[in-house]
Amino acid sequence: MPDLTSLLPQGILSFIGGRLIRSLVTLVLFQLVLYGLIQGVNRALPNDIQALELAISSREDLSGFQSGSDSTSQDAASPGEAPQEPATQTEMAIDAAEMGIDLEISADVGVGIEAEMALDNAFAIEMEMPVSEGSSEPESPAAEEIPVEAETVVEPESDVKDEKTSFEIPWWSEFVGWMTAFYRGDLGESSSLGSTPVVDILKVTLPRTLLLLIPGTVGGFLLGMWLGKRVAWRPRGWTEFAATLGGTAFYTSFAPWLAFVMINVFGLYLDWLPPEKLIDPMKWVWLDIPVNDVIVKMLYTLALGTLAYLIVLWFTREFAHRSCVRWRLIGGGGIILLIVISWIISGLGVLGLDILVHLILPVATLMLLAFGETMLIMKTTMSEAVVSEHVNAARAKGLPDARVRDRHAARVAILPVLTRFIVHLPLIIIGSFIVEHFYYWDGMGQELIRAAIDNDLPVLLGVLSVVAMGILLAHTTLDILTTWLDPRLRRVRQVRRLPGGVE
Amino acid sequence: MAQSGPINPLPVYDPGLRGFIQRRAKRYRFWLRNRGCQWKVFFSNPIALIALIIIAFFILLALIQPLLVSKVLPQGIYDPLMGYDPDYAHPSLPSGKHIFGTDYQGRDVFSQLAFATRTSIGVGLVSALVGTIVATIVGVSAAYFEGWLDTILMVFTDVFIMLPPAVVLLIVGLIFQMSWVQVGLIYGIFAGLGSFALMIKVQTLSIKNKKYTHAATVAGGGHWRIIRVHILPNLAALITVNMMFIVTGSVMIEAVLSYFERSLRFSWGSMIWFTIDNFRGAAVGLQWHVLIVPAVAIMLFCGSFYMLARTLDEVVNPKLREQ
Repeated sequence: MPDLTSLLPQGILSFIGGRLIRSLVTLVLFQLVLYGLIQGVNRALPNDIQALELAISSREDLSGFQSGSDSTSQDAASPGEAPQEPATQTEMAIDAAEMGIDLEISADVGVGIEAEMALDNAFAIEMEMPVSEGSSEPESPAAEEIPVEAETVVEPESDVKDEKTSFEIPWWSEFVGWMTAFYRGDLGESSSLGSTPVVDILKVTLPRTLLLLIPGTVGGFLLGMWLGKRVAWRPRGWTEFAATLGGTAFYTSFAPWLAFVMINVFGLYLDWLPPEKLIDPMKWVWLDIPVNDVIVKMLYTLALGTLAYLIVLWFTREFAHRSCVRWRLIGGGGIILLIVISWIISGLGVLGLDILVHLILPVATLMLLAFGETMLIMKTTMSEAVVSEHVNAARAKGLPDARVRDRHAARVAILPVLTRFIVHLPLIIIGSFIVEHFYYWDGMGQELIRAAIDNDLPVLLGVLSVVAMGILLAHTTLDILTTWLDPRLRRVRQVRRLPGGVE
Repeated sequence: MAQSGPINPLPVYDPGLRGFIQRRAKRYRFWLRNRGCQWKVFFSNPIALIALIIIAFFILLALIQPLLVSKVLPQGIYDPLMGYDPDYAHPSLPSGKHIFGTDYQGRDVFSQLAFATRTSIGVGLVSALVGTIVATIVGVSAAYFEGWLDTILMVFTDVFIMLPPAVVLLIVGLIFQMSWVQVGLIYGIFAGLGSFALMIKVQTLSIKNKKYTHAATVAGGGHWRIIRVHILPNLAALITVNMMFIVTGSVMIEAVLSYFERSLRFSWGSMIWFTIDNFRGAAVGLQWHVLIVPAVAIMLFCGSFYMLARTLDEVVNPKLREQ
């Protein structure tokens, strides 16, 4: 347990305050860069919607010129109230493509809730349309599916669109609007998934990704730390060589290949574990429980269990000097028993077990991808710490071997490992995305790859911002952790600690 | 205070060619005398030597590939994209004629590997060069010319730390079809503006506050001379190590991209994609001998760069050398 009274007033509070302000400034600038990136991509993309808008605007200019009115764009830009009578067949086609959704919706509103009537109306309007070109046809399946939902989603889009596409608004005002909407939680609507709000997509996919990412990353880190500690403490030739070789091989192994091998060997050939998907649908069919509820409960369980185990660790450290391992085992076993009993009582035990069984292979793959570098750096820094003087002093004091290793040598050795791990984190996140894609785990990574192939910019933007927030959080956590682990940094903090152990 | 020995006369600075040659010769003699002390550590490590040999092999393979295909080997059989050998039933296992076997279309796997090596080495080279140049310029100028330049550059660095090149490249590369030069450029710029620049900045700050830099300033050295003579040589080790980390990352990301992108850019990733996608559930079964070659190639190439960087880190980092 760190000495809180000495820790709090000097270091951490002012430090967190400064870090927060810096983070806020960084966030705003990050938004600016992101906006520029997305706008640039949007410009460069040959987009169907843009081509359509171009055609519409040219038609408006043309009609204004023909009618002879002076203010062409102002009149034509006012949407929806009284569409002008189309003169030619092509104009009618474009008009149909533009107004198709709106007409169907107004028909729905007029009729009411009954879906059949709405469907009939939508069909009737489509039949009335004179020219059925390729552009108007894709609208019909959307109308067939759920017209009531389409009404609530699509209507605001038609209002916003005209406002955004007009050339009057300067870019900075547009950026400020976009950023305020961003911080209010409005990330736009997906352009490929029937204009679902991006926030809803993230709400569904983020817990699933976290359920895969957190155990994989933390487990990989702990595994690498444990292995590196053991290998460096009693150096033998072949263990060191094997550890170096294995760590490098797993760290540099191509993520799709590793996932493929794991699926084929453990999932298909040996048939030990289910090789793909989040759940086994046969167990979920009769229960009316959403998957995400169970996943969020599993995340809460994970957090609470970790907290409880930390408390157990603290108690054993404070009060059980001699037989610390025994009490830790008892405490950990008690926590696991408590978790199992509470899940059985809540009636979700079967479903949780189902997700857990499907989780094992992806998490094992991610752990194999993540543990290599941690182990290698831990080995190097630990072999440096083993020969240092304070470790000799601790040994001379007569402390048990494991205690010297864990508390005196490893605590010093872990600092560069942490910094390098944070630098390495984006590659682990990419690895988890690829693992998700291969195990058909419906998380953020699969959503990202799907959206990138479908050119769905708002979803990409949302995922990228979530990743960036995660990285910012990781950096802040790293700074706090290093302040806690290294007492020298609490007093004087002139030089920022850096990846790779550079000071 | 009485002088006991003779006073050494100050060496006269000779700006001509003779003086230049003399100074160079002195520096070379100094280098010869102190040659072994650091690199002994490097070359006593067998892993670093093996890594160097592997990298040299891949570079040689990429260099002689066009010559091999067009001049040495019969073209119809060994062409990486169109070749077909009528003597074998494809896919064939490794044999004397095809040392890694052939894939289901009858193309030689070794020839494909050599062709794909060129893309990967190109991406690694471009990204390492661009990343190093960007990071050095940003880091050194922020540390050396403090003030508003430092503030602005560090704010940008903070922003680009949040945009890791791997994630950005995964998004942009899946939207657009990019050549390997563009992939390397984007990776280099985003990697160079991120934590790499921050590392160089901090290292430069610590060099700038050393006494020999102050002495050089007092002696009247200009900015450019101090940076060139005193700061950059001391940064060389750090830059080299991080350059190799950039190579590792960019080669991996390029392979991932060409796995998902199905582009015209032929690389190790697209070799794996061909094999996995075409043979899954097919009657011929999965061709492990085709699949394992590019995967092991990625592992060897990135792993040797990584091990080389780690060994170099141990050589140049005095903290790690003392063991």
